[in-house]
Amino acid sequence: MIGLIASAFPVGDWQFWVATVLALGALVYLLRKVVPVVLPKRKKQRSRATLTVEGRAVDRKT
Amino acid sequence: MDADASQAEPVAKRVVLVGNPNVGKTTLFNRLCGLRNKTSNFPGTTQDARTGHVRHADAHLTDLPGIYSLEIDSSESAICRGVLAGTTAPGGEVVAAPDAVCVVVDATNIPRNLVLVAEAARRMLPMVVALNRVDVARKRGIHADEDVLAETLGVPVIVCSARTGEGLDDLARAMTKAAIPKDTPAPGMDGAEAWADRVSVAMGAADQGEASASLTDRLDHAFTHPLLGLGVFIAIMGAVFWTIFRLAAFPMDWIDGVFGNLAGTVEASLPAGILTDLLANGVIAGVGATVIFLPQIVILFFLIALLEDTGYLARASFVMDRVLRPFGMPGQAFVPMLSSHACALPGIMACRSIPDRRERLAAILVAPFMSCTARIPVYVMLTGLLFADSATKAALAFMGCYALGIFAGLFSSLIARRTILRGPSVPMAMELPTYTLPSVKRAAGEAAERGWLFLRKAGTVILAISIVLWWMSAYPKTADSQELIDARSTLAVKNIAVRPASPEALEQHVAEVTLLSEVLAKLEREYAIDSVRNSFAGKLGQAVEPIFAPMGADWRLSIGIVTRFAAREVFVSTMAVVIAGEDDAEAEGVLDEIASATRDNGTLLFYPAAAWALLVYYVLAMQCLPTLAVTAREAGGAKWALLQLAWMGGLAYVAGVAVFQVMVLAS
Amino acid sequence: MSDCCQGGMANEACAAACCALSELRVGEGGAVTAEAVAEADLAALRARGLGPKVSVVVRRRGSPCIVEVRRANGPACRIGMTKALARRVMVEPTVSASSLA
Repeated sequence: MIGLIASAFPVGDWQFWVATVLALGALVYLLRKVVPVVLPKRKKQRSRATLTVEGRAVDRKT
Repeated sequence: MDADASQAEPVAKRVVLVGNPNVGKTTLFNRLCGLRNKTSNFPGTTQDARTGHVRHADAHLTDLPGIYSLEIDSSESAICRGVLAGTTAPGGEVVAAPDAVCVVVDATNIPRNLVLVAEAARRMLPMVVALNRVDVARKRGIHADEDVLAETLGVPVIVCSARTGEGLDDLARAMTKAAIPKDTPAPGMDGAEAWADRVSVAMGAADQGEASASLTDRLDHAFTHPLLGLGVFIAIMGAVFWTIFRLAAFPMDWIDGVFGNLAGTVEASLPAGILTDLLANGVIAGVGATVIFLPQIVILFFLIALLEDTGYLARASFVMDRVLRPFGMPGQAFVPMLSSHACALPGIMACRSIPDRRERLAAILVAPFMSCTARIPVYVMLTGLLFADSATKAALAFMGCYALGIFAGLFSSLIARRTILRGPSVPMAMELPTYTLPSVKRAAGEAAERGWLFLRKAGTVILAISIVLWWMSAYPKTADSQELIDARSTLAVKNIAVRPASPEALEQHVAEVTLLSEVLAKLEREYAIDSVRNSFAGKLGQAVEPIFAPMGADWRLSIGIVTRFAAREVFVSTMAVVIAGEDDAEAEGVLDEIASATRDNGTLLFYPAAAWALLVYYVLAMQCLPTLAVTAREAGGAKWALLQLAWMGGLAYVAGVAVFQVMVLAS
Repeated sequence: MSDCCQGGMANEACAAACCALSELRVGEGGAVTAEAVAEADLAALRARGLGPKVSVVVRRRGSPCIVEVRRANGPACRIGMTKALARRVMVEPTVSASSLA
């Protein structure tokens, strides 16, 4: 079995791993083009904040 | 108050450019900002926004969409209102009201443009007015007094010409010295129009009259006539496509040669190995596969820009409105459809010009039916196989493919507008620009921009696909057969053997080497075919063979169909590899080998029924990942892209199966 | 005056004095009436210059209907529209432009 894998995939050759990582990177890039399109965007959680200066709320009209 | 605030570095003024369409706003932006600009989107829209820094001035400029009015119900006007109110901004920019508004006015049509000036003045933001195209106005004898406008509004009014560069330095300086208008018109459109009329009369912005009204009338009548107009349109489009195919052939051949040589050089120069193979056959092949279509795309967009400049395209839109309206699309859809014949990406983006949402969606969904440049190599190969003895018939079949794509697009639009996109059509109204001689420089710039867009959006995806396909075709590796190993070593021994001295022995030696070389070449080709068959790509093709068998496809054609889904361009080279064991489809004898290839049962691989079915399938199928991504973005959701994929794929499959089965029955 | 007004239009305010733009012949013109362009659908036309009291001269009948629009003393610009839209733009006809030559 290991022999079969070794003959089908040159696992001992560092170039194979570099090429495989590059191909995986290309695949991830392609999936990212498609998957954000397929998955719905999560609604941003809105948070409210009150502007304060030295612990006191700011009067926006001044 | 922060004590350091007064000593902080001054922040560049944020200025926005507003103006009617076609007043030279974008040309002005380009002249003011040069290459230092970037393009982004307005959040939640597909509208592009360009921002840049004004040279020699402390101003950060944003180019807003061209609008006739801030008060009408259109997406562009909504964006401009939002920007001026400080509720929206281009991606990455500060969301706040701009520091100044620069309204660009066309000096040749001041009264109409002043309506927008009036509406902008009501916003009470610091303002400056750029009276652009003053060079053209002078030629037409229009001499408006800009001081009257400056005095009325109390803001700087700068006379300029984006084309010649006149007044641009003054304008850049004025942007940082904008003032809040002192005279604001009465509310409503009535108030704005009345103000515009009053001020334009005071400015003396009279036109000396249109010298060639009768010529314009005659041309309009000819170009919009139901019969003559259609004839002119067909003739012009025929000339456009003929020009594209003739002119593009030379640079395409050159590009093909360059990338072929580059791949060969890489293989010869670098040590043999996996990365060299990836570089030569994955990366360089992938880049080449994209770049080779650039000439056709650039030439088509150049010609479209020229036609648009002349004023003809606006008239042609009305001619096409008669043709497209019964199918649920407006005349404005014709330019996106035309562009899609180069590449669906810019074609789909051009659908933004269609005002009605339902009509725009219909056009986006059917744009990929138009036969793009990537389909051409397959059309050429299959029609050449079908009509090997008759170039005329092959050409007619080739044109038939285009016609089938157009018909399928119209039919699909009709179905969509009667079902999921049901609704009334919006009657078409367009300003008809004056007939002018086209600007070659502007058209070249437009073509270059579209070409770069294609390279950026499609090229990156196609390169990634090429790398993935390379890996899937290369692994798992097939072990060399003993016969191949023996043949290689025998030939190697023969080649290094001492050459015989006598002529007869030498002749025999040469004959033996030649025979061994031919045997080795045959074994190498068989090895290449077995390698593909045993690879992941090959296994995938064999797995889907039952699906495409009703269409007449065997495992080899199924590989071509599957790999083509990722990138249309690879079909011909994939066929060359799986059939002839040669990755260069144009190498000598390869096409003949493809034409005479047989199936396992001895019948021709590309017998007529199968070839026709494949051709029809290829015309109709959605097989372009970049297009799907752009559809999702422009249509506003993934569901539209998935619908497009399902509809086109289903239609292509049904049509392919139907053609094959009918032809088999008939024969 | 063109013979369009004999047909009678739905808009009572324009019954005798107004015509649809589609009914004018080539060379005939008029002033766009305010009522015609009050509809939201025609706002886009108004933004392009086809507003109230704007004088228009028909350059081509049918579809497209091409009109020359002149605002104040500014230059004429041409607007094309389908016949369906031209039927909804009401004008008060004036003396035909060709007869002024």
